[in-house]
Amino acid sequence: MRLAELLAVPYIRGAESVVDESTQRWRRRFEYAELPGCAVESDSATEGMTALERARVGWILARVAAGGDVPCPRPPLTWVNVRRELRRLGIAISPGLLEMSPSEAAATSELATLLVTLARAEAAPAARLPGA
Amino acid sequence: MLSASDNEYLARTGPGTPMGQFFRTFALPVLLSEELPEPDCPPVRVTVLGEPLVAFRATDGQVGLLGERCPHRTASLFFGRNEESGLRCTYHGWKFDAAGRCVDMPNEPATSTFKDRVRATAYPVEERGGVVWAHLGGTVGAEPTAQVPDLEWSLVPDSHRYIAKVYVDCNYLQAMEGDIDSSHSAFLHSRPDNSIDRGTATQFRNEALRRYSFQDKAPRFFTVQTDSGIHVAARRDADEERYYWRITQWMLPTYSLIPREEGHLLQCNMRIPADDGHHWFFRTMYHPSRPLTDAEVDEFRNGGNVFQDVIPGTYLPVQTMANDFLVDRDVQRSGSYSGIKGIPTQDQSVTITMGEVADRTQEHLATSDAGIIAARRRLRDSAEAVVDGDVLPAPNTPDSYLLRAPALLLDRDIAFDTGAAELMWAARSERQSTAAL
Repeated sequence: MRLAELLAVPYIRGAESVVDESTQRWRRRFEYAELPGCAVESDSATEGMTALERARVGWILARVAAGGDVPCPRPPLTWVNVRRELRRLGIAISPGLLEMSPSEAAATSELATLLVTLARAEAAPAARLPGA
Repeated sequence: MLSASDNEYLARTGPGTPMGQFFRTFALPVLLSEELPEPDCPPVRVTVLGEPLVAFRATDGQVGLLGERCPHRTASLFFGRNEESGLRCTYHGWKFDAAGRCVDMPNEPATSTFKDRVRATAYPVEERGGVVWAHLGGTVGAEPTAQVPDLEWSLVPDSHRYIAKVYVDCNYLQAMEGDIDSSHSAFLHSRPDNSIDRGTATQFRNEALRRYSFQDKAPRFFTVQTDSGIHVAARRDADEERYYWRITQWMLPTYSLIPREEGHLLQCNMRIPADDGHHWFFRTMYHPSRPLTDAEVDEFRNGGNVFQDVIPGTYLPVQTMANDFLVDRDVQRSGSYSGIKGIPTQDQSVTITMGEVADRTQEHLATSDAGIIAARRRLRDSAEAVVDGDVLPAPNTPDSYLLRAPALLLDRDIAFDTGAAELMWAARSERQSTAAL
């Protein structure tokens, strides 16, 4: 399976309201339970769902870089334009990388650099994206 | 919330708009077959996606769908004469067949070939399930680029189905969002005794598990993208070991299957933009394996609870914003949460009152709106794909629409799309049901 196909696998997205124990403030929590640990919390439902998509991409790329298996509970959706979706999320991945198999992609410096960039972006406030 | 530009992007469906282009990639329901009851009957006006059209049933029984304006001097063809396999404009007698060809131009010399250079706008149509489906992006006679979706209700015998339409005074999108939103039923459609407000209906919605919707009014939402749309699953606590799931199927462009327990009548809602401030609401109730009873049909036709009361001879609702949807405040205090008769009218009392086009810049969305957010994004993604020249698979994968929307109990450790898999696909579960008979 190519990296682009991995990024087009549909997962069950869960949404719930949770209370932040430290602030006693209610927040929105979104997660992909099929990707262990892939979850975000946000004050905004729409921004939270966007942040979850970034987290999903980051999770998958990190697993690929580590040589691990990415869960594929369902076949990839053939209609998804992964490049357009990544562009909307502000994630720049070269077409060449998307066409590689996970093992090929893991061997590239591009993937390692990309993971560093994503980690830095996670630490920064999420930008509001069109259509979010 | 959406920005003003994003709101405009999703709501506007007229000619030349991105969403209009998107809609035109699909075969859409535009009329009920009953509106053209026989060959050579009077033509019917219908506006879809901001385009005024006229439909007629030709002498051979085939339906033609033409632009309303005669290509001669733009008079309305609605007043035309439907005769001998064509629609004849009453102004100068120019006659057009279902393909839009000008087949007679009596005010020009008989040997003139001018008529061969004149064509009315004409769209390919197909009838199925008591509905006339039109491909407003297609050309009559050309290779079709959209297929009528295999929605189960359209494939059952006529006796198994009741279908009606009504003209609604608001943009399609806010009404469609209500179809996806499973959490409002416990409020808008409820009674003080925590039951569904069925009014005088007795044949409908007496589902045993519905009580869980009132025990747990804050469901958790899960969504999964599919080839034709999104599974939108609402999960509520049932007991210590099980969850109550209601799984709505939302399918492109605007079709929703409303969750129903196995064995009960099934329901499909379809929202087709007439123009930016109005839409056609098609609703059907059907049973996959038996005819509807006389009592069921009577209730749908006359009850005003499941299908709206309309002004006789029209598809206009009796209850409108102008008469405050005939809200009864005494009933609201004692008998029903809304005080408004009829489930679809209860929905319209909230969606129409959002304004002709809801201003989504003023929203504050909650986690219970996860399905709505996902659907908006899917619509936006799909429209951008069409504008970019990508080919959407949904308009040409009719079998991806052969779904059902189950409401059921599942053990807590089972994912909904696994536990409900057999019930979510009409073909597979129907084979099972048939085998059990």
